[in-house]
Amino acid sequence: MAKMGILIDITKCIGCGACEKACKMRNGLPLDLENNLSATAYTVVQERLPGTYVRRMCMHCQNPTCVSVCPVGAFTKTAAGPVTYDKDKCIGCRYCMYSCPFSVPKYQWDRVVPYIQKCYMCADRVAEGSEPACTAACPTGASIFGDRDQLIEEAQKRIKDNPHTYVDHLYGLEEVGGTSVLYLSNVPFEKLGEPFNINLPDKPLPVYTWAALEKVPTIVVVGGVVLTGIWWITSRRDEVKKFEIKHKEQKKLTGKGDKP
Amino acid sequence: MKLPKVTFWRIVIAAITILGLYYTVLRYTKGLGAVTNLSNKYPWGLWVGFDVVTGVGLAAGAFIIALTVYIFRIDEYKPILRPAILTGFLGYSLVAVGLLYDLGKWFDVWHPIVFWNPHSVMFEVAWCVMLYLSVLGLEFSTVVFERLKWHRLNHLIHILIIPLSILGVILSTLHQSSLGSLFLIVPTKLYALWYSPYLPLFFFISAVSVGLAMVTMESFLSMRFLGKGIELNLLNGLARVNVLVMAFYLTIKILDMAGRGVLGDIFSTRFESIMFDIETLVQVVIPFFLLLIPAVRTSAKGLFVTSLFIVIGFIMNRLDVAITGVEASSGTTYFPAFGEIMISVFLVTMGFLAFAYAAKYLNVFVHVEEKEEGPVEIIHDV
Amino acid sequence: MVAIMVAITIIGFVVLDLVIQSLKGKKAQEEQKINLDFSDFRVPVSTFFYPGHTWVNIQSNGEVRVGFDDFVRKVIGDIESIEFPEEGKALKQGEKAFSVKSGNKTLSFLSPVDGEVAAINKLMLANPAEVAKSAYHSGWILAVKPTNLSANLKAMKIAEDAVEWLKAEIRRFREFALGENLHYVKDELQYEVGRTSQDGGCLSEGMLSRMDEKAVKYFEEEFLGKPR
Ligand code: SF4
Ligand code: SF4
Ligand code: SF4
Repeated sequence: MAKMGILIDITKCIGCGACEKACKMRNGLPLDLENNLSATAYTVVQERLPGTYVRRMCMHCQNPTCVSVCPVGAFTKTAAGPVTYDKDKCIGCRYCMYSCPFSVPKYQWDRVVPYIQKCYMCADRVAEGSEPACTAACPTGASIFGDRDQLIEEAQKRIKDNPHTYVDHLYGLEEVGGTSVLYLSNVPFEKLGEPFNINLPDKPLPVYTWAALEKVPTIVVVGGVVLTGIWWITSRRDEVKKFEIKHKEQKKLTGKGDKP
Repeated sequence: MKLPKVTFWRIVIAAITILGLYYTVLRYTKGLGAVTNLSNKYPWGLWVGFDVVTGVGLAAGAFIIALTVYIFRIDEYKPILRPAILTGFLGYSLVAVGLLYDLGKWFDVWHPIVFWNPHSVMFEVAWCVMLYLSVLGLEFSTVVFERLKWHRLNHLIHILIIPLSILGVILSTLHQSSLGSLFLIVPTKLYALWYSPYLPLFFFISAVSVGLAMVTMESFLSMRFLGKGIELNLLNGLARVNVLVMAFYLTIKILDMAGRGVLGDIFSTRFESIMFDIETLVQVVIPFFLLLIPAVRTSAKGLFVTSLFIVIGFIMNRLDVAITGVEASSGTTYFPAFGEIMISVFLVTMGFLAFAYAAKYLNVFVHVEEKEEGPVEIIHDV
Repeated sequence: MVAIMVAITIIGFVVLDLVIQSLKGKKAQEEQKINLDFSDFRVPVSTFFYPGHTWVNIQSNGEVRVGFDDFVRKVIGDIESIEFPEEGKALKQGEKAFSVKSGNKTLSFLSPVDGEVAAINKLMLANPAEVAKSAYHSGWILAVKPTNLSANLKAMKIAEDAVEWLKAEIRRFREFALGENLHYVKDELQYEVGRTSQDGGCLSEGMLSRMDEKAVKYFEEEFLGKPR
């Protein structure tokens, strides 16, 4: 299956919150509206500037940080595009929350057995060939679902056709190696706050840790050899010392015996 | 039954224990949110920063002394081997217990054994800590076997001790540096003075430095609590090594900052910069210059004070990286809740108690005791 | 913030402990004045004591370590510096080996063995006041290559003998310093020493610093021995 994605066009969003409601219904979450992403809100629409609404959700990175950092591999980047979470594997270290460049994963702080919660791009519906609940509910087409490559084409066409409306940046095309969720905006992204962070590198973040991690086998092998070598030398040295002392004593004894 | 004598510290310990147990019950019956100030914006706090990231570093003395005695075969340091290994073992055990508090699904703590993700630094740290805790357990088990007079088993450990210590040194090198790698994943969140591609190297070197300082502190603690003598000449040797380690640390830190063009930031009046400056002064600069003075290096007071500097500076460094450094980018502030603090204090207190009891009932200071009766051979001159 | 909080907590605990220790210490010090007695001294089992209050400990490399015992250390109190012989110098049992300075007083110690100075304790050179507190351990003074050890050892005491001897020495010192047994000390001297120990007629650390020159001289000759 092709890699699917979601295109969010900020110019078209009217802040109706239909996606929020649809998501909550779909996932059996309490229906009251929330201001921020939370364990009970996988997506929210926030008015960042007067009349400008930003819809927050998991970016479904192409090379996701959360997948790379989780010690038990609770996250998976599925072939279809969604990044999904296995609550049974999770141990609750919250490293994913700490490191996600868009601060997406949220936690059930009030539970005795808490889980990570985040948008999973309705992976089950996507697998069935249908679209996520939120994009289906969007009345203006501000959020649309589709093949990521086609969405990119579409977005670039929109920018080209309306250069005065859109800023010339498709957010999510390159950031941290690309994300499945893409944003178009008429306001410069740096003015809008999260998830837009213009300082983010185009390299996927897991590359940074891998640079250190890939050295592990070398350290193990070289360390093992060097340490064993040092131990061998020092223990040899001690043996030689012992031998010399013995030798000297023997010489002394025989030397005395030689004397008339 | 004779009641123990009431002393100031016993009252304090009792109070800490009661509070600690109360918050423990609360944490396990009401969840993390009830005890901690952690939030969706601030998922890591004191328990990760202090109990885990700092705790592992503070227990680094064990591998350094094991390396010195078993691999470099400098027998002179044997008297402080057992206390160092005991502290290491207790330190890592506390880290494990701390994890059980911090992990949301603490009962699944064993998951990394079966569910692998070799791309995760946390996975590597988990394995190293697990293995190293076993290594320390085995290294320390001789002391227990000795006490139980299980000579066969003791002999077995004796045969294994060299491969075990080699393994221990490798594991320590790996996870001490990997604790730094943990933060490589947040290049835009962590303040520029702390974020560096060389974080793993910095973490490793500073762990060596604080390990040496901790061994020194242990000697003072055992003098304070158990009335043991102090191995001044050995501690003096450690201090001299530490001077070199700290010089190296400071040099590469400055080079790295200059290379990344953030050296000027240390003069900034931003909160983070000031914290960075305090931390660096306390952790490296002040102790480095203090230890250059021979009178400080050779006096008990001097060694104690410099070690205290290094240890506190080290703790500040780790907390700065894990907590303060990401505060600005988190969009909120964090200060641990009283319950969080109490649990950390409780764990440290338990560590102290365990050390005191182990030292009392096991032959931890065996060599020192020999020395109290008479000078044991010292082949090496200081 | 968190870092500062933790740092302050730790420093707080350390300071609190120091305060409590020093409060306790004051009490203990008062007790100690009375108690500087047999129970304050320990005799290491593997160490030979020379009557001039120096000791010898035989090393596995055949050298011997030489130092002065804890009794003298306590009498002297804070040690300012030590005058070492040069390395390689030949020593003779009963002849001057090294001297110790404290305040304006200098005490000479006799060598317990014949031999050649192989090394001096550099740690003692750097920080004598602290290091000397471990009188039988880090506080050694010289390492000597002995040349006549078996004969030399005959003049020394070890184990139970050493304990008995040290007890007798402490008794003798009490008599000298506190005038407990008048007929033992010359009247004139007793008068002067007596004045120095007005602090309740008991022994305390660093008594020597409060004695006058004559008394110190007497102490040196009577306890550390006259060089042959
Ligand atoms: S946005 Fe965060 S949680 Fe979502 S895929 Fe990317 S790293 Fe994972
Ligand atoms: S909290 Fe769970 S999902 Fe997140 S990194 Fe830890 S184990 Fe993985
Ligand atoms: S994709 Fe599904 S889970 Fe994600 S925000 Fe939309 S409805 Fe919610």
